[in-house]
Amino acid sequence: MISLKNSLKAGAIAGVLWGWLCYLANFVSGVFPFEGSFAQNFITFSFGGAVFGVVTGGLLAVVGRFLPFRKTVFRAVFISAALWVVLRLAGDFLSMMEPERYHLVKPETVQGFFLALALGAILGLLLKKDERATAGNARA
Amino acid sequence: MERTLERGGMDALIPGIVLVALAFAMVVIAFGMESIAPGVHDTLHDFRHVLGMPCH
Repeated sequence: MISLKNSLKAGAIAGVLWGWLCYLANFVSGVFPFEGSFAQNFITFSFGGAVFGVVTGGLLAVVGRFLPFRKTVFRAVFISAALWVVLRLAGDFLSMMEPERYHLVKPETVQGFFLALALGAILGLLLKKDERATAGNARA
Repeated sequence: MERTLERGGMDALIPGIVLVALAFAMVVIAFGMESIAPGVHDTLHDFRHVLGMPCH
């Protein structure tokens, strides 16, 4: 079982890496033309990614054991995708209430969903590595 | 024993508080809630768009 503390730490690292991946993915795809400078985006994507990563890691530690997957990677991908879907559905709701303020763009949505899957994969792989290291230490 | 229980509780409580606070921060970032954190909308505007979250 993953401890909450370790999961939050792994989430923070995975989140920062994922933030950079988000920047790179959008730079390559060109789905959204960046409005901020590289320096500003480097900081905001790192910070935003860390926040999303920590929350995903925390949820994985809290509810991960109830999921019907044995592998940590699948659990992390499921939680990350589910979290994104919940936020996106709330965004749909906001868009319905205030259509002038909140607009939803399809290519950004597709990109965001795949990036959410990527966050889960990065977090799951980091935690798997951590679990292996812990098991190795216990055996030694 | 009481002290051990107290310590165990605190060890779980702090990460729990961090998780709840950051979950709230995540919602604020995702929807650019200016009324809660002034400046968050413009600061994390590109990040929100890249993730496919609703924006103007």
